[in-house]
Parts: sequence; C-alpha cells; structure tokens
Amino acid sequence: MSAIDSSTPIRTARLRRSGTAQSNSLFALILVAPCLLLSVTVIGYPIFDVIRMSVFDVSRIGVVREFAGFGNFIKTFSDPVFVQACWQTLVWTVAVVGGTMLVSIPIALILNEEFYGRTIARTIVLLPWAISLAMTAVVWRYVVNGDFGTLNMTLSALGLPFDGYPWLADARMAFTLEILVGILVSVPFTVTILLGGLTSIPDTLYEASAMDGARALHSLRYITMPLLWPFMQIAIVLNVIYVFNSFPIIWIMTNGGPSNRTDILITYIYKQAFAFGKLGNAAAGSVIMFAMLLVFAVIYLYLTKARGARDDV
Amino acid sequence: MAKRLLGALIFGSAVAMAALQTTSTWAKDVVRVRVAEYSTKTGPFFQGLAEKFNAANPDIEVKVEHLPWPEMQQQLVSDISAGTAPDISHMATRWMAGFAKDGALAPIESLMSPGFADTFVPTYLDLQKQEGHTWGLPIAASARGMFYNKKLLEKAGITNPPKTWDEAFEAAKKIDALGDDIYGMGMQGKDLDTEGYWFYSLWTHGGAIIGPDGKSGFASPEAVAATRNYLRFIEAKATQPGVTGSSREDLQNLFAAGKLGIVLSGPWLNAQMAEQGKDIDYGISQIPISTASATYGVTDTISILETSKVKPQAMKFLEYIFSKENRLEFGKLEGFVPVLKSESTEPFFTDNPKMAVFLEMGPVAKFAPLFPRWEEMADGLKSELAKIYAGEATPEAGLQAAAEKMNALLAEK
Repeated sequence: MSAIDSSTPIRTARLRRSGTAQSNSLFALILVAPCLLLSVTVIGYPIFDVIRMSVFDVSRIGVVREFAGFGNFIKTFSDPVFVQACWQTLVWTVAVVGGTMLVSIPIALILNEEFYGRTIARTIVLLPWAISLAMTAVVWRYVVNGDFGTLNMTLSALGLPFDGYPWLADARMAFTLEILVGILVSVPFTVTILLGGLTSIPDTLYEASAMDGARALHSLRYITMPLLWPFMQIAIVLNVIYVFNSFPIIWIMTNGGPSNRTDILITYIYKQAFAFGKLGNAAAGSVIMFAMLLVFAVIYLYLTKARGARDDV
Repeated sequence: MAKRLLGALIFGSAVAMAALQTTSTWAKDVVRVRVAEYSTKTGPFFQGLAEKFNAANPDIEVKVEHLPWPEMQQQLVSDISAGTAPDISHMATRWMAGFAKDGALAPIESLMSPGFADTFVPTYLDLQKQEGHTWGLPIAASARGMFYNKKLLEKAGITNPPKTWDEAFEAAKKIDALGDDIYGMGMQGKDLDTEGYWFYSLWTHGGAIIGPDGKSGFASPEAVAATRNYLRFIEAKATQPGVTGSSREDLQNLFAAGKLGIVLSGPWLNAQMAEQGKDIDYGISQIPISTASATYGVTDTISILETSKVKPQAMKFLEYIFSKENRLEFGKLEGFVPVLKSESTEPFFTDNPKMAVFLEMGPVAKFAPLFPRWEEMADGLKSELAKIYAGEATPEAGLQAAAEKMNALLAEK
C-alpha cells in the first residue's frame, strides 16, 4: 500500500511532463511495485541477515554480539574440514552433473524417437522426480544396508560374495553411491530440458541432410549436438546450482561421515550452525557458498539472456 | 417493538459471551511445553499429563508439542533466535551448558518449592547444575549395560556372560565362528553416540575424558589401551562387518534379529526387543571391565527458558511431571532409570532383571563433561575414531589429533 501512496506524487509530476508511453510504463511500474517490494523483502532480508551474521560474533541462540570483521571467515578457512568439504563439494558437483549429462543425453535422444510405448517410457524416466529427495535417500540407505538391504540380498542370490558387505562403511564407496543416487534424481529434470531442446530442432534439417547423404551419426554430430548445446548449457548450469546445494542425500545416507569424508559445504554449514552452535562460522560459510553460486546464477542469466536476444532477431 | 427487543437480547448476549470468552482466555496463563519423543508413546503421555494438570489448575493452560529427537536441536536454536521459543523445553543435557552460557535458560533454584530438589537422586540433579545455578531437571536418565544373546553364547560353549574385556574378546571370537551372518560383538563407528561407545572402553581401562592436568584425556596411555582393546575385536573380525558404517540403530537391529552375540546399549533396547525381538532370549549384565568398573550415564534435561513470561506456572507443571506416580508411569513406559529417590525402591526397577543392572551400575556411572563446545570436541573424536577403526590411522596418531582439537577448543573459552 505504502509503495503506491509514496509514488503517487512522482506519478502526477511525470504525467504532466511527458506523454502517454512514459505514463503507461510508469503505471505498470506502480502496479508491480508491491510485488517488487515484497520480493526484495522476502529474498533480500535473509541475504542481508546472513551477511551481517558473517561479520559479527554470534551466540548459539542468534544474539549478535560485537563486530568480528573477517574473523569468522578466517576461522572458517583455517578449518581443515572446511577445505576438505570444499574439495568434496567440487568432486560431488562435477561427478553428479557430469554423470547426469552423460546419462541424460542418450535417454533424451531415445525418448525423442517415435516408438511404441514412448509415453510410458517417458513417464518412467520422470517418475523419480515425483518422489521427495529425502524419501529417495532414506530408501537408498535401506537398500545398501549391509545386513538387511535388498542390494546385498540380490547380489548374494546371484551367487556374488556380497553377503553382509558394508557399502557405507568405506568413505569412497559411500561417496560413489551418493553420487549415483544424485545422478538418478537429477536425470528427470535434465531429460525434460533436453527433450524440449530436441523438439525445437526442425525435422526439415534432418530431411535435407538425409537427402545430401548424411548418415545418422553425421546428423547427430553436425545437427543435433550443436543445436542442443544451448539447452545442455542451461541444464548444466541449473544442475550445478541444485546439486551444489543438495542436502538430503548426503545428510541421510552418511551424515557426512565416515571421518567427514562425505561432507560437502552445505552439510558442513548445517553442522556448524545446529550441532556446534557456531552461527557466525555457518554464516561465513553460507556467504562463501552464496558467492560461488552467484557466479553460476550470473552465467545462467547470461546464457538465457543471450538466447532471448538471439530469438528476438 | 418485540423485534427490537429480540435484537437487543441477541446483541447483548453476544457481547456478554464475547466478553466471557476473552476474559477466560486472558485469565489463563498459557504454558507452551516442548518434548522430544523417545518413542511413539512420549507425546501422548505428556499430552495426557497436560490434560490432567489443566483440569486441576483452571488458571493455567499447558500446551504440549512433541518433536522427534533429531529435529530438537535445530528447532530450538531457530526458535530461540527468532524469539518464538516455548516456555519449557526438553533437551540433551550436553546442549544445556551452551544454552545456559548464552543466557537462553532460566535458573530454576528460586522457582522450586522448598524440599522439591531433595526428592531427586543427587547424582542426576547435580548434573543439571553449573556455576551455582540449576538450569533444569533430569527428565530422563540412563546407564548402559551389556546385552547378550543367551542362545548364541550357549551355542558357542560359553556358560557365563563375560565379565572382563579378555573374556568378551574370547566369547566374541567363538560366537562369530558360529556362522557367516552371526557376529560376535557389536562395535559402533557412525552417527549419534559413537564416542559414547568408545567411552565404555576408555573408562573401564581407567581413562578419563579430562586428564588430571585439566586437558584432554583422549590421548592418554589408558585411552590408547582402550582403543587397542576395540581394535583387536575388529582385526580378529569378531565384530559386525563395516564398523565405520554402523550406527547405534544398526547394531540394535542386528541384535534384535538374533545376529549379534553381544552389544553395549541402554534400557531403551528392552523396548525394541519387546517389539522386534520377541523370540530372542537375552540377558543384561555389567559392561566388561579391564581395570575399573564403569558405565556411561546420560541424562536429558527439561528447562524453563529465560524468555518465558510464565516461569512460576511453568515450574508448577514441572513439579507435577516430577511427582512420584507420574515419574513411575513414565519410567515404566520408556524404561528409564529412576531419578527420584522414591522411585528407586519400586519393585518395577529392583525386581526386574531387565532393569536391575542399570540401577546397579548407577554408582559407577560416568558422564560426559558439560562444556559449551562439547559437541564439537566429541565430533572431532568421532571422526578420528572412524579413521582408527578403518585402519587409516594408528590409535596414537588419531587420538593425539582428537586431543589436540579438544585442547584447542578448551583454550578458546
């Protein structure tokens, strides 16, 4: 309400000065002002609060005490577990996003072909999307349980020596399994984006190239891939943002253990805040994560904007 | 005329009712109580208590909300910082020190009725005291014991439950040899309480969390011996496979499924056995010893928060919870050790073989220290223990790293 009230004098002043086009856009601005104000408050305030907490000494119950400058950041960077978590976040993000792309491209190509039962196949691929991430992680934790899990039951039934094999006891194995689950849950979203991209490639291009004697592999390499590339870029950037931030899989399956070897930044920050009561350090970690993600968000905006501009021409 | 009269009558009675409504809610002091769930019965139990209490105290309205344990800490931190904390909250005693230090809790010694403090077993109430103030009441207390599967012990040719670690080691090897999916002794290496599982060995080898010099005792010769004690079980493959992947629940599930010969756990395992391990014949005895008898005692705390505007009313409800009959009902429901002197003599605890050992071990119970940064120290220890159990670090090097981390945190205060 107050936004409209306060802008009214400006509006009348401007109206007197300029024509209808300007007044129209001004009127539009007034209409979106309440929403804009709400967005800035809802999105901006938490960011402001986290940045504020990151440069203050904060008690475990959130009481902001004296100014700490970069103290929280220095403490965070000097924690070997933080540095370790940074590397693991890199491995986690690259492996999950890379794996997702490698799996999704062939799936999208197959699902783009006409075949009997394609709708069913598409539904099955999208199904993991419908289940909450936390539930998927819980299910997988049970599946890989050494003594009662269905994975070992199946492997032993096939005569393989996996009876009682503890999958989550070894950090490398546990991390690999988490990455595989991460890929599984990222595939539906990625396939959806790629399918959209594939549908937008006009059939005439393929027909023309076929007439010129191009084989299927050629048209895949010289037509499909280049035209799909912008969609792949968007899928990669969005996946990086989601996966980088993804908490439930790791938290539920291993809690970051054994020996912090499956901790990524987000689980590290959660522990700092809610298990150790170091809200200042957690805020500093969050700001660092925010800065990293901002880079990707900007890349995303740049990619979509470039595409938008090209479409306009 | 009649119409107007009727209208006035309706209006009048509506006003009167509205007034009545508001005065009655205004007059009542609302006490918000948050409890954590030990089992599915915890929430309904406290809700039942609140109803009875509300009926007997028309000027107070107690509202109970219950949450699962894993969410408690995060929820409490968020609520306190947002200013929406309840009046009374349940918490782990080891979190209490941090909350008390940061001024989130109200000292209750002056709120308690005279003589009320004397109804408690002193050991448990003393744990809630720091810097001369009482910050809460021991809502649950437990000691730990050794659970053993009688049938597996018998099959392995062992007549008496092991009393020392050497006996336990021999027994575990024999039990483990019984079959591919039968394991000797459970060894925890993951999640909540991993450090607690190590304390059993530490304390029974004469070690301590804090050494005589006031510094970490994690790297003392006793601690190294205690760790080697566990390592020999792992190296001889007399434990379940994958120690670093096994949480407390994993071990309890194995024991309830009859696959594990020996596991160290607390009275809550009785409740799980009653549901999931009905056909397992098991016994409970004292934690095996090396040089000293000891067990891990843990209490949970229920406190009044500093922000509460109804502290005396909240205390009144707490005193109601801690009446003998209500505590006895709670003890029977959840299987905790008595915290009231009057409860300790009840036949339910003394004559019950599944409870008696926890009472017997009470006097030798040791507790985790109440440092505000304890969670972090324990996490450092847990992380190093996982490395040692996995064979990636020697006990000396791993424990030294854990001790250094603890000393650094102690020095920060």
